[in-house]
Amino acid sequence: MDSYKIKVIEGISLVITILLAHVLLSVPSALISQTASSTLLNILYVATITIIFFFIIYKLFSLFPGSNIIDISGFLGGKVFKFIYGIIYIAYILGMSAIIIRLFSEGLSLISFSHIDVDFIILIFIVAVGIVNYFGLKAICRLNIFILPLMILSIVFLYFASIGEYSFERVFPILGYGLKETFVDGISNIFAYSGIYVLFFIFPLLTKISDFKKVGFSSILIYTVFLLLSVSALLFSIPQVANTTSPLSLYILARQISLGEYIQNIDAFFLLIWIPFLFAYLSINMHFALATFKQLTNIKYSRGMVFFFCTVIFVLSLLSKNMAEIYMLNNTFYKYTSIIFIFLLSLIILVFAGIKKLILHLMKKGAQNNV
Amino acid sequence: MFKKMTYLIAIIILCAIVFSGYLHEQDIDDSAYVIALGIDAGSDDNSIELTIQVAIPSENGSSSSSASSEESSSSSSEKGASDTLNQTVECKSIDSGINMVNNIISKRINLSHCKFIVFSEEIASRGISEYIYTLENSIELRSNCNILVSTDDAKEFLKSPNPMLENSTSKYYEIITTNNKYSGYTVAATLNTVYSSMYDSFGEACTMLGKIDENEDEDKNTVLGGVAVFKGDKLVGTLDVNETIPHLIVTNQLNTCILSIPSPFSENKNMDFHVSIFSNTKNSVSIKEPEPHITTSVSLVSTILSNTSDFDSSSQEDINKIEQALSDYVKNEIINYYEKTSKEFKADIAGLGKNAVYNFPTVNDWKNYDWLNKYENATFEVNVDVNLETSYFIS
Repeated sequence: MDSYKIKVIEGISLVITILLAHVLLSVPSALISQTASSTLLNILYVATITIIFFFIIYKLFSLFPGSNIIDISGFLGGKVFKFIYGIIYIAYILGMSAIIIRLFSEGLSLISFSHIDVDFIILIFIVAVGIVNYFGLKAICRLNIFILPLMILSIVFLYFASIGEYSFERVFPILGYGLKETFVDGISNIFAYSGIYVLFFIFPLLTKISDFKKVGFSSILIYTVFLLLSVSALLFSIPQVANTTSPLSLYILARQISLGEYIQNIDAFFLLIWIPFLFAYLSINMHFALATFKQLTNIKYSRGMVFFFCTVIFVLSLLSKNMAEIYMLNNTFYKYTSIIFIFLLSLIILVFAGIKKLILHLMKKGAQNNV
Repeated sequence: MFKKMTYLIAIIILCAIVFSGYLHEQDIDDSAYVIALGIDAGSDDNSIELTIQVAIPSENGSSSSSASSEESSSSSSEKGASDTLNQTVECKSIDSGINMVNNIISKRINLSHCKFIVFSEEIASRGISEYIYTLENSIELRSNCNILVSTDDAKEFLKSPNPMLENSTSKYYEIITTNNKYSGYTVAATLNTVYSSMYDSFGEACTMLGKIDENEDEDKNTVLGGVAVFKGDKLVGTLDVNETIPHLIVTNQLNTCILSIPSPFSENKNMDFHVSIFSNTKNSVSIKEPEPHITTSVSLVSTILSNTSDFDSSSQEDINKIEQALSDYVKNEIINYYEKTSKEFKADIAGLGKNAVYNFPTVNDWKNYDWLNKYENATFEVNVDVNLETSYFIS
């Protein structure tokens, strides 16, 4: 790819984009169906765990300046392990992108483009993503910096414009299905933060090592605020039984907004923001998949792979026959794979790599002392 | 390279425009815009009679105020008011009915301007959840579309609008739903609020109530007044216009209304008051006893509208007497309303469960308490505080 170094603000916006894209889709509904009225409490809980998780990985990453998670896996397990881990990472990113693009396209088809085939909608997304990636990380960051504030504004607007429909009592019973369900089983809601995988890659792309800490903490905290806004808006305005499955959670809110007698049905306005936002999301995912591929294979010109990866996403996104399969994939593949892959496996690799580095360091020190 | 990319982008944009647009062109003339839907019971339990009231664009907004009701060539197609066409079909579901009407009128039915959904009493007694769920899932239909139960057939109800001061039926529908802001005679019930209260565990749903009013000259017109009370998704009873005011007071929805109460100064005379809520009504639910105890504190502000020579408006003693009389009247009305909704209808349409749910830590505890069925045994305590403001120019 390119050796473009990203600034703190660009880094934060990259991470928030990846995180927020899932909020636009099914994450709020999935969180509410898991923990019911205690979802807001649960989000604060998983946000705290995520911050602790990031603090640990920040400390571990500091042991490997200029390395991303793939480099560290190579340090821990050698070339073969690095290759396998990298391929799994690429598969995860492409699979996740395929689910998201299909889910969003199905939503668009349902709302506005009922006369257009879903595969045609997906194709337009894919081609646009391919073009953006052809221009590299700098173009992606610029697109992102432009579109993310609009997305954030749309969430804030949705929250305040829906206030008339709120029943704040829906936050009760405060413990939802119970203490265990909120704080033990509810820990699985940490999948809402799985977009922090980007942090594992941007460490070497930042201009300063200290920026990593700023990017990580800021993006998690900012995202938590918008996740709370989105989930609370949905929780307060819709009965819990209705919060089960929806391809576009935020659209449900957008649909019910009317500003007086004359400004009604403004949901199309939100689609104007959400469509380019999804372009930005897919472009970032595609970039990191390509970067990982380049790192694994050492090919000189990875741009040639852009449209190959686009084709893979396109084909993967069309594999599901119907919405039931997509929901199943989203609720199992995305949720549990994210928890295992992003939070558990990455942490294990980082911890063991840290231990290995420490042992090597001690051995080296011991050898120097012997000399 | 830049040139190549520019050409590529231009080709993609061109393809997108060429292939996505014209093949599925939809002209405004191809659509028929529905302004109201009526749902009646069909010939058997499994079918409904769907009436679709469509705006006739050429006549819409014209200065003609004639409202003849003439039969058209189709037996089930009738002209309602001057600017609408009512089409009735018997069908199994709303969507299949719409499709049948699409076929009959050779235009695509569009629900995006639908203002009213009218259910007949019979179909509402059978249960309306499947229709509400279908309509809530319709992308075209706005969530602020009004829901109404008609004591007469929905089909007849939609034929009857006879707006005397309004040319457009669509505009008339918009205006009559806002009447309750100053009359207090009905509730605001939209698709969204009905759907929410029907699926919530805090209370039951209620909708507007409508009927056909026939005068001495046999001119028919639609009148909105009262509340249709639901238990689950089934209609269990109705509240009249006087019983609607306590409902609006308890749920903080009252804007203003006129109350007429027996005069405390002389028998056989009434006094009129303009009443509005001074500070929000506070409801609290105690669950210490086996049966819930509901306390409602109401604070009203009112002005005297009817002048009588029986009292001195500058006398504090007389003012206190009037405040007490008004307070007792409102208190009595609210207690009657509570008794009727709890003992007779067994339906908490005020959503008082919202004030009870605080007492339960988990969803299971709340479900086990079974608020919606506990409500029928609830006891009530009502406190009413009235601040009287005289409003005479001349005393």
